[in-house]
Amino acid sequence: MMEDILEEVEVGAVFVRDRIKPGWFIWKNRKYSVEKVSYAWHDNSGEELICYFSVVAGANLYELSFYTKKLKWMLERIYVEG
Amino acid sequence: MERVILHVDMDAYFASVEEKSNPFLKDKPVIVSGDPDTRTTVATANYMAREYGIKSGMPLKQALRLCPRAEIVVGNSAKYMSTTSRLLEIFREFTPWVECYSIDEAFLDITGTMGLFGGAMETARGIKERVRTELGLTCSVGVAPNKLLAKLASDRVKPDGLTVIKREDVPELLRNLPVEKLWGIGEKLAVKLNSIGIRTCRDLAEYPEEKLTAIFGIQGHILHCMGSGEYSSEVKLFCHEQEYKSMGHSYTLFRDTSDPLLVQSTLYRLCEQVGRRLRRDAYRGRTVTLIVRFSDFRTLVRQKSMQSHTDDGDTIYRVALSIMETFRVKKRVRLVGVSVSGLIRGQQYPPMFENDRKRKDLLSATDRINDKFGEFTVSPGLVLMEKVLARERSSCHGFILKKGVVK
Repeated sequence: MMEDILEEVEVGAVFVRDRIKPGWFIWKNRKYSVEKVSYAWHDNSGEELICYFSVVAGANLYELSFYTKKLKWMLERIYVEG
Repeated sequence: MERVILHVDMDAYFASVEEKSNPFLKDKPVIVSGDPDTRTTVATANYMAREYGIKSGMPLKQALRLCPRAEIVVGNSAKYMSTTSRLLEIFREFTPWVECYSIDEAFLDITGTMGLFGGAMETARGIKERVRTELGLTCSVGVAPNKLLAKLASDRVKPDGLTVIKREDVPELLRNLPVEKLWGIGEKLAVKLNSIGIRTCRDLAEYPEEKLTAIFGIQGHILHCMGSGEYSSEVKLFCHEQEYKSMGHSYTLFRDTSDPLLVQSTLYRLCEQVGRRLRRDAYRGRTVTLIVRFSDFRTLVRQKSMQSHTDDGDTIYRVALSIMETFRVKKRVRLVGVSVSGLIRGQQYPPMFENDRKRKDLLSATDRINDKFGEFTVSPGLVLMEKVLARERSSCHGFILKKGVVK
C-alpha cells in the first residue's frame, strides 16, 4: 500500500523536449537513483500545474511531484509492500 | 457512404493505470477503491481479481472476503483524467470526430479519415498500438456502422479485443441476442420489455412500432430501430457544448449519523459545489431538490421552487434546509444530495439592493481566489465543520486559507 510522506525533496531532472524525467532525488540526506519512471501524469491546483511521477528506485516505488509555479519538488508517497 | 464507427473501451482502466504506475503490483489481484478505512466500494478490479468474483460496485469488505490477498489501491481521479486526456490526443491523431463518452470509453467516426491509415481495421490496430506503446495500456475496440453496434462489438472480446460487426452480419447476430445486451437497455427497461414478451432483439424488431410508442413514448421508436441494429445518433464532438437541465451533487457520509450538524455541514458543502458549477457555466436555477437516504436505505426526495433564479450556494442551502426541516428524521442518515433544476443561462441584471450587490461581489472574489489557488481555498466555516466532524483523513481547509488554520 502507499504511505503518505509529503516532504520537500531535492531532485535532479532532465527536461527532454516537452517531457520531464527525474534522474535522482535526495530524501533524508540519502540519494536515490531513479531506475525507471513507470508513470507520469498531471493535475491542477487552481492555476498551478503539478506534474506527478511514479518512479522506481532500488526495491521501492516513490511518487514525486513537481510544482511548476513554485518550482518545488515533493516526495508525495512511497509504496510499502504488504 | 456507410459510416464507420469505432468504440474504444479501456480494459479494467483504473486498475490497469495503477498496475502500470506500480510495477510491484504485477501478477497480483488489484482492487481500486476509495479509502479502505471508510465505507467504500470497488471502483475497478483487474482481471486477476475478477477471477475471484470481484465486481465493480461491490462493497470493499465483501471483495476482500472473496480475495483477502488483493492489493487495495486508493483511486486517483486526477491520474485517470490526465491519462484520458492523453488517450483523446492519440485518438484525435486518427480522426477529429472523437466523442469522449466516459472516462474510459470513446466513440470515433473514422469514415472520412480511415483511408489515410489503410482502412478501418488498420486504423483500429494503429490506435491500439499507440495506446499500448505510449501508455502501456490495452483497450478493446469495436468497429461497426453505428455507435450501438460498435459498442456491442467492443464488448464481445475483452481484454485487448478487436471485433468487427458488418452490416450483413447484423440480422444473424441480433437474432437471439437478449435485449439487455444492447447499449441503453438497462435492467429496469429489460424487465418492462420482457413483461410484454420481448426477450431478444428480433422480438424487439418485430414488435409493432405503434404499440412500443404507445408504451414508451418517443423512446418506442428508438427501441424499435435498436432491435434491428439501427441507431441514428452521431458521434458528438468533444467541443459541442452540452446544455444542462440540472446540476447536483450527492455524498455518502463517512458513517451513518444522527448528528444534524454533520448532515447540515455536508449539505452546505454540496450546495457550495453546486453554486460553483452554476456560476462557472453561467447558469442559474430555480428549483432545489433534496435527497436524503437513511441507514435502512429508505430515500426521501423533495423539491421546492424559489421565486427567482440563483447561483448562490448559500441560497440553495437555505432552501434545501427548509425542505429538510419538513422531514421527520428518525433513522440515521447515510447519504445527502442536492440538485438545482429549472436552469436558465446568460447575463444577469445587476442586483438592486446593496446587500445583494455585496454578496455578488463576495462570491465573485472567492471564485477568483479558488480558481487561482484551488477549490475550497476560501470557504464558509460550515464547510470546515464537516471535515472536523467527520474526522476525514483528507486535507483540512481553513476558514481563510488552505493551510495552517485548523488541522
